[in-house]
Amino acid sequence: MSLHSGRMHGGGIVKENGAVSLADLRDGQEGSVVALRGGHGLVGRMAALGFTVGATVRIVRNPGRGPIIVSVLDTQIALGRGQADHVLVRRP
Amino acid sequence: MTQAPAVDEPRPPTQKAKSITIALAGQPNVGKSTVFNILTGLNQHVGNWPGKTVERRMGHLEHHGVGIDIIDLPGTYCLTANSPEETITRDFVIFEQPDVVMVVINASSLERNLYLVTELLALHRPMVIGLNMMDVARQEGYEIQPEELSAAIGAPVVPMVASRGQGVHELLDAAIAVAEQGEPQELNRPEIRPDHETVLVQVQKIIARHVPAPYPADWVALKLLEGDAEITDLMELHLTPEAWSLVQDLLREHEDAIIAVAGGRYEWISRMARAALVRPRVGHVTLTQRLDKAATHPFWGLLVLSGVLAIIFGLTYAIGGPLQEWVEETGIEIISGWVLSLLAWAPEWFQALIADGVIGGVGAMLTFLPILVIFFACMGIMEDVGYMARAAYVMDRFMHSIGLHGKSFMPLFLGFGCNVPAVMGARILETRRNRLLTIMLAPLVPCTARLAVLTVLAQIFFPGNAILVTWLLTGLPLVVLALSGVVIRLLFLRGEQSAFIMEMPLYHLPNRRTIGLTVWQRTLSFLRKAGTVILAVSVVVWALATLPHGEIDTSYLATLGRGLEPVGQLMGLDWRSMVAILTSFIAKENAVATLGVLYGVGEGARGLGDVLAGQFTAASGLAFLVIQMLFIPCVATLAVIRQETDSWKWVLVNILFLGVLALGGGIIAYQIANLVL
Repeated sequence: MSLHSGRMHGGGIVKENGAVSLADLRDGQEGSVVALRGGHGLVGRMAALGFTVGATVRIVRNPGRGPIIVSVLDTQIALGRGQADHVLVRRP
Repeated sequence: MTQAPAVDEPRPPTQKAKSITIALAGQPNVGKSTVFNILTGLNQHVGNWPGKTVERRMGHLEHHGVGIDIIDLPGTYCLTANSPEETITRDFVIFEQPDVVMVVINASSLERNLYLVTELLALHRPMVIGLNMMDVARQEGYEIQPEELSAAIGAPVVPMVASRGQGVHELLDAAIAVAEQGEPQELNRPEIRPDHETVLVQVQKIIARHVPAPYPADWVALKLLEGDAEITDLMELHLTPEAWSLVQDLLREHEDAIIAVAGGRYEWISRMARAALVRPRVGHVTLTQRLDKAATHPFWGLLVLSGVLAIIFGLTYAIGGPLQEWVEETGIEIISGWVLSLLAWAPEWFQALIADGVIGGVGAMLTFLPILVIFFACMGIMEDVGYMARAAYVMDRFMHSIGLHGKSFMPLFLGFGCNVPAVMGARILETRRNRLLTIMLAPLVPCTARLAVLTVLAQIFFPGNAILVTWLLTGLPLVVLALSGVVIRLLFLRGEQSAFIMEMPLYHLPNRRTIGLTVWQRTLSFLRKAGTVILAVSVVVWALATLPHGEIDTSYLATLGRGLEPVGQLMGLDWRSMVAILTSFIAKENAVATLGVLYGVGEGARGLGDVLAGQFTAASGLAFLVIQMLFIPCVATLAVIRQETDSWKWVLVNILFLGVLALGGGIIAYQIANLVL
């Protein structure tokens, strides 16, 4: 299942309208969340941590492999690459 | 939700001189335990939630003649049904109907923390909010007006610095005032985002008269839209098939409603924040950011971690070692001398039972108590300071490859001192799967007792190559651990990827009281639960080694050892070695002592080394050591595995897993060594 601010759209970690996976941003880059993918469980958990459509995120650390650190809602969250790929963002 | 601001269902007014139940809720890393500890002190009861392996802490206090029960709910970010902690929290509030829900929130990440408040507001209980860590927020450049926040939400908001004891009692006063006031609170609740308002109303209408008490109907409707599995099952059971299929159609059409629900909560949150929060200017570099430059760096982070680990080991050797030695050599002697002088009247067998069986067992427990306390303290400090999350972050890459979570690293590392804190440390892991896997693999981390046996015997068996053998055999269980992790992941957890989502809390100074209480409680719970098991097992093993004639050579244990000789022969070990392996079950260091007794060390002028060197070949010596390094953990570790998993099944699984591994490893080592050497 995939969840979007408005309509549903196809699976896969495809970039759409210039949106990229959160794991594709580099250190210090900012983005705005456009969609969250995954089941209700993951989306609910991510939402509770501040990853919601429209939220501004900033990459604190992305070493290229392994988990990344993202700043969202004044908190730093470590995310596995798998989970980061479920967050689609658009660069400002 | 449609009612904002809304009026709570009237509650029977609390009579005076009654007791008040307060549910303490909060997200992780908000200082909730500190608040709980300040309020209840040592007057708390620690157990497990019924049927769950989640810790439950309850406390009682008297305040101006009012009896107050406080239940410390598990730390959760939200109230979905995705984890036992979340289910426990929401079920408690729904079914136990506490007089007040006391939510502790972290002022330095106000908006994220208000998310749990929005979820709790939907459960219609009176609420007070503790705005904790005001000092950290100030240090990070935030300015928060508690009165504004209170006015906006409609519930009391008390600013606090719980780590310094500030504001905690004011929070309690506010909670009591709310519990005792007859008037229900007028709380401002979030609404779903407008694009999904209609569907929410439709669902509410269909389910309205079918929601079983005491579930709030509007909350159930929201949870249906959020796709909550538990509530979905509940309503499927309580609705007619026709009504249920109507609901299902609506839900299917609005699969993305969860985003609208969460979005509505965040809109409410930003309204609250606009009223009460002033952010730091852009470019403000905080202490946490500065420290994390090194602590989470892919290279420097590992170096920092090595430094921290080195300090822990240094402490263990500098403080734990001498203490342990003193307990072993002097402490036990004093106790047994004292007890025996009291028992001078008793028959000899009874004196032996007490001196060797009981005190032997207690002694084994006491000798590793210093290390245990040091490790519990190190764990507590690292958690409280906020470093634990950084260690988990830098190690996640490596732990991930063996199917474990980054957070498993610290508990497993503690296993080098003693496997007991390793098993107990697995509590910090979120899912039961991660906890179980870590607990099952923890005994493969060679503890100090095993390393001591290895060092002593390697020098005897391999005089020329002792250091090499010691290194290789220390590495062996670690390699087995990694391989087991990979195999378990491939065989049993295929495709089941464990999500790594973890908050990196801001660094702050540790609170002595919180850490002290944690160490005290963990040590006490270990002594209480493991203590009885260790005592019982050590008496049983003592009896087996003594009965029927008072000699270990002719004892039941020896008979058992002789029965195991056929297995032993496959690795060149006689019954004495098998018995030594069996007695190491009480404590690993027993292996050496038993060998000494059975081979009659001390009966001539020959020392342990000479006697054993004559009895073991290089191959059988190697096999013996391999078994020692891989064998079933000691009884203390098994006792805490029982305690932490809340099941004998996993104790048995662990015994079988490691028993087979050790014997198999011993046989392979012996056969290969015979071919090569």
